[in-house]
Amino acid sequence: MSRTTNDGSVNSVNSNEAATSGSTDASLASQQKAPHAPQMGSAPGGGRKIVWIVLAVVVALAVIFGIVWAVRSRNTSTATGGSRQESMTIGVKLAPTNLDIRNQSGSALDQVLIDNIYEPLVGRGTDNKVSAGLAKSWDVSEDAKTYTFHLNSGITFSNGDALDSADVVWSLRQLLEKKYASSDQLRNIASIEAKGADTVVVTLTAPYADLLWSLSGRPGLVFDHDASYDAKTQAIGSGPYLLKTFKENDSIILTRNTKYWGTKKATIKTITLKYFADDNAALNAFKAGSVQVLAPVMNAKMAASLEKDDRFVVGQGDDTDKYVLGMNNKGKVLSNKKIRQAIRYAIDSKEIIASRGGVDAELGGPIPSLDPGYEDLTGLYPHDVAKAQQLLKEAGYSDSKPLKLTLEYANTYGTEFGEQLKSQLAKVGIDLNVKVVEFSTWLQDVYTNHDYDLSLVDHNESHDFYQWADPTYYYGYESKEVQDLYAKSITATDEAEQAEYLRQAAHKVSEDAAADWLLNYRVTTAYAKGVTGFPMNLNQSRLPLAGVDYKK
Amino acid sequence: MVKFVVRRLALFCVALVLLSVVVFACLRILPGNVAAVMAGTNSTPERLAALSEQLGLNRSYPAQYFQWCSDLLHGNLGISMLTGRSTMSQALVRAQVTLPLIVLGLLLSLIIGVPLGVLAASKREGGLHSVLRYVSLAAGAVPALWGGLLLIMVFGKGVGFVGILPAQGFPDNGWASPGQALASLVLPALSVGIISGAQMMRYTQSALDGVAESGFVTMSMAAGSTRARALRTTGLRIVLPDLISVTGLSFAQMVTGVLVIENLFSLPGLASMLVTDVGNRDLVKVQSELMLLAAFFLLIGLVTDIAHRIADPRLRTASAVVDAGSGGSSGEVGGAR
Amino acid sequence: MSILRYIWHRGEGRFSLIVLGCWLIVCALSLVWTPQPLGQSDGYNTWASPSLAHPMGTDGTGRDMLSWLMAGSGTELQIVVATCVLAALIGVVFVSFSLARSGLVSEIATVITDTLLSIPIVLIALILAVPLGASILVVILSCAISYGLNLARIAKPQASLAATSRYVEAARAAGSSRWKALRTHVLPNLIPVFSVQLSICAGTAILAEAGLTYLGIGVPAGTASWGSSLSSSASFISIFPLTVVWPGALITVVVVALNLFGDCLRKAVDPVVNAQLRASEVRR
Repeated sequence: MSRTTNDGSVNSVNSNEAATSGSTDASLASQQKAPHAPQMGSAPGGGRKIVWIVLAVVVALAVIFGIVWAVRSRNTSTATGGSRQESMTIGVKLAPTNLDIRNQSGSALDQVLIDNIYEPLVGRGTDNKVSAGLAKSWDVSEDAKTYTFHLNSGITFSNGDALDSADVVWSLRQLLEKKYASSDQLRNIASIEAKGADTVVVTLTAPYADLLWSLSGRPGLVFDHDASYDAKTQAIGSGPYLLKTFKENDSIILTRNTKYWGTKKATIKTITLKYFADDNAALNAFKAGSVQVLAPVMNAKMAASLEKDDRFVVGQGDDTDKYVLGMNNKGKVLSNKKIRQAIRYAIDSKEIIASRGGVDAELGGPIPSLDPGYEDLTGLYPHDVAKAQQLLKEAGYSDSKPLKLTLEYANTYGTEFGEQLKSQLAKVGIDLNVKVVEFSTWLQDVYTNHDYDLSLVDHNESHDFYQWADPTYYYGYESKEVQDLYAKSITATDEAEQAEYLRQAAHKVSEDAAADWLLNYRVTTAYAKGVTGFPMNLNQSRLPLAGVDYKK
Repeated sequence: MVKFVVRRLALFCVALVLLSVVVFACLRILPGNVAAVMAGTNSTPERLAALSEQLGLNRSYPAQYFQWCSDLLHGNLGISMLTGRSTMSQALVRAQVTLPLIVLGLLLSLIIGVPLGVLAASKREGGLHSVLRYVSLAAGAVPALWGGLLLIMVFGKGVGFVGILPAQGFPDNGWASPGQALASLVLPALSVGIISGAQMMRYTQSALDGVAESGFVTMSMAAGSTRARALRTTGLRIVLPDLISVTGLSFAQMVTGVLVIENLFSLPGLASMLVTDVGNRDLVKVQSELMLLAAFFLLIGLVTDIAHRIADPRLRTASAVVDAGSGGSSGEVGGAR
Repeated sequence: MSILRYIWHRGEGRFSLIVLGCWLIVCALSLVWTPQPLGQSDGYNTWASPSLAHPMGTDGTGRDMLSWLMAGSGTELQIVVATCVLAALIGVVFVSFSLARSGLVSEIATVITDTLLSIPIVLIALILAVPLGASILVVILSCAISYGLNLARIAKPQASLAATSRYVEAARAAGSSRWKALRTHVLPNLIPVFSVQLSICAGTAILAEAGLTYLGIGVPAGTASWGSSLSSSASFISIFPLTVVWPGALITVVVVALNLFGDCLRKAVDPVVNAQLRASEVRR
């Protein structure tokens, strides 16, 4: 073997290796050709020459054209000043795949469609409270079982059809009949009737404290009974904006509804919502000025770099996103309350929040600050490694017999959570196996089959306490006391009463360590100077654009 | 020649059928379905059942497969369950970004790779040779993601040192504003083009080095031509068939980089569509997209093979001779990936 | 050994051997020791600049970048070795089939290599990722399939030359089986071309890992790999450019080393092959 190779290497010096070993022939040859070297840049002769020239010219032109265009457009954009802009672009994160708001779940649709294209019967403010909407007012009967809604007059859909009580009744009835998305939020409904063209009466079998709030969201949306369109790609509503184009997973362009019925007409003529899957691309777009608002800036560390720039304004708003570390309360291991408590003691929310830039709020229970029944429960299970270890010991686990758990969550939340939890739980002796999967796999494994130990979900819905009163929900949490309290809360006829019941129920859920609440996400929004009226609170689930203005 | 083309076409069809089975089967093993994704986290089992029924998810697999095949044969790629749009039209819209990107990248890679490769081959020693060699080695070994990031840091509008080129996005009205569209493709195309060009350059050089040892170039030099000229004329001519093959292959092999770069520059191309659709379990759409792409690349392979045949007179007479170049040259094919 | 010595005595070869050697050493080292424990993250100290405690800074979860990259070298090695072994196997199988006596078998082998070669790795990976999810297996399988077929195609001319050589004729005449002749006279002839190709394939497997992981179909979350370090820090390049430098530079250096190694290896073994090729050509 070695002989052959030695021979081989000698050979190779002659054949392939003239370059480095300096064979005389080769160096002669290279000296000889040296004077001709300048010709090297020119193309090979004959017909191919033309091809090369054409190719080079085409690409050179393309590059030059592109650069010139880019520079020119940059100049024109800085030349104007001080006046209202005809159009603006808003960078957002979660893209809808279709526009069928009655069938497709997800807050991405609420964000773009509600208040802009479709309007709910009752409005909702940035404080998460109900306000006048399509209905200018409403009366509630003494027993809280009859709601009478008085519609505004002269409401029209964007196609010119009038919006009257018949459309409202049809929309609500369809919702219940076809079991559209969020239909379960309307409960205890006995009947929905029109009384004349501008009055709708909803009667209940029992009081339902969340009725008005539900009607200010998806369940209350009013659709045109007479219009026929493909709801997946088109949208016809009564809102201040019209849908111009929809490119799934990419962008949505809205234009002003010039015939809007209400007083709060849209200010900016064209608004583009551009969806960025890549946070870095979003930031680049914002810095480059092709996007005027970025909501959310996913990482507060990114926001910090924007705050230093005096072209931009950065702010934080409250939201109802609860990052819930769900525990399988009916699971083999986690049905043991001690272990659940140990996990809660072991988790250091402050560290997780700090790693995300220190913007999010701590959350100690199932109800966030913007929802009724909120109470600061962060003191129930402070970060305490010793206590966690003690509880695990009592449950029969030790260093020699460590507790092994699996955390399965959807890849939309990034890998950082899993890695941090793994590191934090390791400190108390829990060996966490992290599985980051597609959302659809998560739905199958965790949500439908309840085949999991721990799971992480951003439950961004507001008023969603029902999850804890439903033992068939994927948490598998079952507490008679909580169910009773929740039942009382929804039949309460008074807001304060409702909040009190919810507060008690939430306290119990948190005390039972039914899950851990890692954080209450607070959305960071950045916008260019000159943008006004952009909602900072809740703008991931509701983004009313009519009041947004942009001058420069 | 005719026989070769016919045979190659038959292979093409067989491969397509096989692929369709593989793709279909792979997609059915998945947990989760599109109805669950639509219904989301606040749904009831009844709602899920209703949606499944509505979307036709309850039929047997063979029934679904044959339905799909017959639709494909009729040129109907199906309608996305999720978006309600025809897969074909969506794919065509997306391809308007991806295809120009691939083509631009490939052109750049040829423009960079071939002349520099010839230059490197004709300068067999000295500073330029080493510089070219090391540059091509390093540039060919850069991960596409990293290369793109570096380019953004240098040229990206708003973020780079010389911020002159858009670093993300594609104009909303697409090619209706050609300048803008082209400008937004310059950096992405450079990212893939430079990397692939470096590989193309190494390939060209090593192929030419191989040919230089053959009698053809020596003969040309004996007839009074310099080594450089001999390589440019005779040498290139000899390696042309292999160059065509490699170009065809790198077309397919650039695609990984192209998909990464598309995501990085948030271009609304085929990559983002495919990745989201897989995530959403929009099966009918994903399988059609995969088939479409597979067919496309098989077609490129077919065309390349035929072009190679035409360009290589020796193969036309169908006696396979191993020329001096093939050992070294085809060695680089793997490197072009 | 003498091949390694030959490579060592060339500047480029020495560079590649040093880099690859370091890689192996770091892999072994990371099994027993890393500067910081691997599972440890520090949320108060994310995206830290390089310091004494963290020579390469920390990443988005506050993990020590150096430790994590060291751990990633092991994953990378697994991928590379598994890919090469599988690719070599696939290559050998297809080469053997393409030399089969039965026209049909060799025809089928040729069909598969020729047509499937034009399917990009990422497409194979996407199809595989559908049932397998994001996993190392997706990277290994898609790369191995693709390179294996490529190997078969590249090695085929030499294999068929060797198969028609006098040695095989003589061996067959002496009564050895086809399989034995293949094993003793054809396959050894392919070792040079295979080893050269595989070292290049190793480099491209690393690049493919980085790309596929970025697309979310490669190495899963929580597993250390250079690609995942690269893609997780990629989002922050404009704010913490230094963090993204390390994994990218590391990948580039290792891939360059693998390519140089392949180049030198070719030079070391090529004349041997060529001599035989020339010999068989003369005989014809």
